[in-house]
Amino acid sequence: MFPLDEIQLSDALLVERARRGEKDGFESLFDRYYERIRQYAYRIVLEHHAADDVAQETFIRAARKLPGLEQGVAFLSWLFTIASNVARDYLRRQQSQRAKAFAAYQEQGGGERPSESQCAPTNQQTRLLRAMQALSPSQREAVALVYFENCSHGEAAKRAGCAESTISWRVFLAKRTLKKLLTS
Amino acid sequence: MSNQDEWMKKVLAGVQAGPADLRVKSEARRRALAAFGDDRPEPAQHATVQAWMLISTVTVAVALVVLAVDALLVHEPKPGVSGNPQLLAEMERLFPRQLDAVIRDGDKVDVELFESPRDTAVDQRILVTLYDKGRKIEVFTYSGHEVCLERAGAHLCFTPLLTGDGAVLVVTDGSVMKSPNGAVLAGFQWSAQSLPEVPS
Repeated sequence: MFPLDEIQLSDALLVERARRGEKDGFESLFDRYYERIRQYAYRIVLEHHAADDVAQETFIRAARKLPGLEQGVAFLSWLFTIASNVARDYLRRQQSQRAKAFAAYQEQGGGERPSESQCAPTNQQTRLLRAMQALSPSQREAVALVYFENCSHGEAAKRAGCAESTISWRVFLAKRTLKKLLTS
Repeated sequence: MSNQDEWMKKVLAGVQAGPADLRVKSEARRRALAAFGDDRPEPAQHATVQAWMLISTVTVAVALVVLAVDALLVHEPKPGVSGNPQLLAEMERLFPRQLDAVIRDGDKVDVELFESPRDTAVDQRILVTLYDKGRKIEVFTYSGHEVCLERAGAHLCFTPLLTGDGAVLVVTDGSVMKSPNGAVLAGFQWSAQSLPEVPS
């Protein structure tokens, strides 16, 4: 016999409780997957603060959409799909905002540039991060799913919302780019 | 697992976020639970940021629609004159050194951008046009840049390359095609050409 609070409730059960409006069901799902989603987000957006934002927004969207989640749909796959979408949205916004911020920075004649002071990277990490930045966001997403989440290409395709061949193609391109940049 | 996969895993092990800030996590939990059904009001600053982000998004969307209409109505190429670099030039001005491709599918325009500025000034502008029955997709990009399209379930990646004699090759995974020899690209008839410089 296990004490009740040590029993690991299944995702399906927690989702069902959350769908019935029980907040602790959703809170348990948050605690179970927040860090995993945050790491996944980081591997796509490659910035610590952005990964925090993406993880937060993922759970906010999940909270709003949970009542509409079809029965039988795996919660984690669904959550990763949301995280992928949020990360893509973030990167799109960042593209336009970065151009505006840079223009403003130039107009002001410089000043202190925002930096990622948290976890200052080593030279090796910097090289790795630069190599990852050379990948497209969709390639980073495929890499994160296949190599960090250990998904098959088929499962990664479900989570990314694309065809399996698309994942295979993106992984192929990512490997080719990383090999070129990191072994030269 | 192949040696290459093992190499990937080993290399990528270094790509991970540092430990979560407990305050950040706590705030994320609070907001997620608020979204779950709690009526607690969001902090004013968050609302301001959201409003600003919404305004930015709407502004970019409106700009893209205006540019698309502008390109379609005002700068429609004259019959017999193929290749309209105006749309690409407009986008280049909006996103200097960040533009990878502009994809026009009917009245919808998608813009592909690099994450960080690159020197594309030396890359020759290319127009690849895909036809399927009455549908036409125009891809404005640069020689040597890979473009991936996902349209109505079809996925297609290709890289146009300008040759020394001015022809355009289209390279896909496992094939090289030269326009206009009638070869089909993922179900689309296609043509490709280099685009002239647009006077600024």
